Amino acid sequence: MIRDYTLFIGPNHPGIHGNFSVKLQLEGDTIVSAKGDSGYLHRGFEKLMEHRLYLQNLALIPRICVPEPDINEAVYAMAIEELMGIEVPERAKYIRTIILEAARVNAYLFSLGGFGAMIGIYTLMQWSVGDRDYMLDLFSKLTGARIYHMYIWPGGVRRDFPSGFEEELLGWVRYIKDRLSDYDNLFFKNSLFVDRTKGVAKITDEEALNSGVTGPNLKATGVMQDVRIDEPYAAYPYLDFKIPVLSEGDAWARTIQRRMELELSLNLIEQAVKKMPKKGPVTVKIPNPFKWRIPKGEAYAKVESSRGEYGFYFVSDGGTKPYRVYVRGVSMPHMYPLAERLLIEANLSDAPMIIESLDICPPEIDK
Amino acid sequence: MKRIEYLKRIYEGRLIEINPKRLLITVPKDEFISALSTFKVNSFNQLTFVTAVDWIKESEFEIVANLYSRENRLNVFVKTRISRDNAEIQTITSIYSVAKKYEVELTEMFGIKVVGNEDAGKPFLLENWKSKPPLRKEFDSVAYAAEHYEARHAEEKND
Repeated sequence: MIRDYTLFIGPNHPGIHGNFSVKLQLEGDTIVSAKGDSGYLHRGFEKLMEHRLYLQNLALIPRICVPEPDINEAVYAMAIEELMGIEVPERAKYIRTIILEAARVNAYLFSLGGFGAMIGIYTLMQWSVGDRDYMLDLFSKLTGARIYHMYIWPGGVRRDFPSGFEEELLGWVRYIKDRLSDYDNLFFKNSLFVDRTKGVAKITDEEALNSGVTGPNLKATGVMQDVRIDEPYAAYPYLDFKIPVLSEGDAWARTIQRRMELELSLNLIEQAVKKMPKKGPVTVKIPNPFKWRIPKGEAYAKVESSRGEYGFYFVSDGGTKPYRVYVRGVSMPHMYPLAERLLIEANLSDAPMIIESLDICPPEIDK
Repeated sequence: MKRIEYLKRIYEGRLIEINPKRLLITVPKDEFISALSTFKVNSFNQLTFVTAVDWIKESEFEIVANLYSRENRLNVFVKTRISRDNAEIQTITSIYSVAKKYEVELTEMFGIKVVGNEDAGKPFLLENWKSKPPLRKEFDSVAYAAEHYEARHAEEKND
């Protein structure tokens, strides 16, 4: 007998990144309605930032999103540089690009692991989280911290690469490139993944644009929109690259899109290391950070994160603390309304695939 | 860029270029919705976010909508100012449906009433919140924490 019932996915569920819940209303195994339940991770970053000096905020902002913290530092620095009229040294631009791309690879590996766990391929999770860890070791060597680096700061980056760092970094890139065929065989070509995602939760380009979707989720519908191309920052204007797009728009395409962008990021790191100036300053001389006063004004700085357009809307009243910062999290439109809508009429067993293929990062919604 | 020229012409002098990638326009409250519709039909068909800034000294809230034009690769801030007392705006979901949750945030974090959005006013991130909306400038987070949570006595060491 088919009956109605309510089911919670999360907040403590292996397939949900961070504390987040989706409340499903089911009839048999068909989802009738889905409601996201955010707020488990609300830490009030926007309010906290208004009470801290510009320098103190550097320690706070990477914590907004755990899988990819460096984007926060980048947009924070870019917004301040825009208001102060600072031009970043060229070597620092390349270093920023390398860090952001390495962080993107890490974020993709992490979310890939989550996907694997979601459909029962736990090996993938162990592999990808392990491979990500090698980069965390390099981050630790460079910045003193594995996850929250506080490395990109207004005016450039905090310190230069230690000697021999480029080689170690390229070694990691080569290692991940070699591993890609293993990932393909284990996951991307595996019928467990392909059969369960082809045609699932399909969206059209028009629907995606109207829903405010950005990043790989949008590019998988055939729309080429990427901040790295549309509004190049850091060293992207100096690099030669083409971003791949797919057209299917389903859960399979979104995941394969990430796989292709992962490879692109590895190529970009290699290219940036090759092209970067071998010497030169990595930060401009800035006034005493404890007394920074940012000129009055507003700025919206954005970067292409692993999930899409990520930005800070920044308002300064000329004081020593930000007057208002709005964190434009990528996942907000991906969850509300998109995931809520895609889950309706889906089969219960597809629900994890739908949520995972959109790569929703709940801390971005809660902030 | 034709459409940008057109927009600059109809908003004579009010549409300011902050930098080559960002435009800014401030309109009166009753023109807000029509301005957004005008921008939407003139290639700004993606809404990046809607939020507010609390200008407490002037006793006003500034509503900021950030729109993006793929065609021209430009962002525009469409702004309006409303009074802090009985703060209220009309929903913009009929123009940009994705604004729904952003408006819910406006109500929850600033206490701005959004007319026409049935979700605004329902709890989103804050559950059982009985204090002032937290992103208002007069909300004192330190006093709130002292009142609601036990002190952590961080200075006590057991080592």
